[in-house]
Amino acid sequence: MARSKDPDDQLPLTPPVFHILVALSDGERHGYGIMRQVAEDTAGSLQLGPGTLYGCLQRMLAAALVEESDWRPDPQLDDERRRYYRISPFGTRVVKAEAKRLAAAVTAARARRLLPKDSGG
Amino acid sequence: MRVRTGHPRLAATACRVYCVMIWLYPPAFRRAFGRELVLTFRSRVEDVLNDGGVREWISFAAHIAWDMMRTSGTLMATGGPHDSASLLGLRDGDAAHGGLDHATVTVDLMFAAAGLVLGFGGWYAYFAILPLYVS
Repeated sequence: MARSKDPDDQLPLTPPVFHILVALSDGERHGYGIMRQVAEDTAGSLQLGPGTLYGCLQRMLAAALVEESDWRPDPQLDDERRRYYRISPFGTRVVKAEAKRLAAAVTAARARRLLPKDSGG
Repeated sequence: MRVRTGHPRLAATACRVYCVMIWLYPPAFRRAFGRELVLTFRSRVEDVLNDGGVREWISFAAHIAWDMMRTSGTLMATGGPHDSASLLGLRDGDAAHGGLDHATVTVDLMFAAAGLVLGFGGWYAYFAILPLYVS
């Protein structure tokens, strides 16, 4: 994936990439932490396997959407060999652009009565 | 390695099998994320063994197998020539001179990994299950 400074060039994101960025938007996490957060955010409808997760992270690192973090927790609390990832400033811009695009799609669906007006999604 | 499950042997066996399975991935991906893949898998195994029953375990195994098949195919297709396997440690330029077919080596490695999994499974069945019926 080529590096680009225009977030729109990265859109649309695949569901796993979008949810990984959302999971990282409130702090650094290791792979399994991301996996659990995505499952929680999607009420279990999106369960990432290890291959899917790290395949996405590989592409996201190449596209500068995420960065590897130097931060490590207390070894007593976690396995210090795990790598932690954080969202990059460019990744934040991309996930905001994707969320805006999805919100516009929901608005269009709602206008055509495909969703009730008080529905959250 | 800390064990956080009441079924440490089952968790360890599952991790060993997964360690063999990750040879299906392109070498560059395996080098970059192999340890992380196993650590993440181990954490998931421990949670499934702690919180789930037989049904969750079967569902988890099917999910991992599906994830492995899908992502290994995708990574090989999109990884490019540098991610292809070279048993001789040759790079792309070397292959052009030596006539090394990266795609064939990659497929051969997939079959070799599948053979290893079947081989280990067969020996495990021979030693663990057969004695129950013979005695």
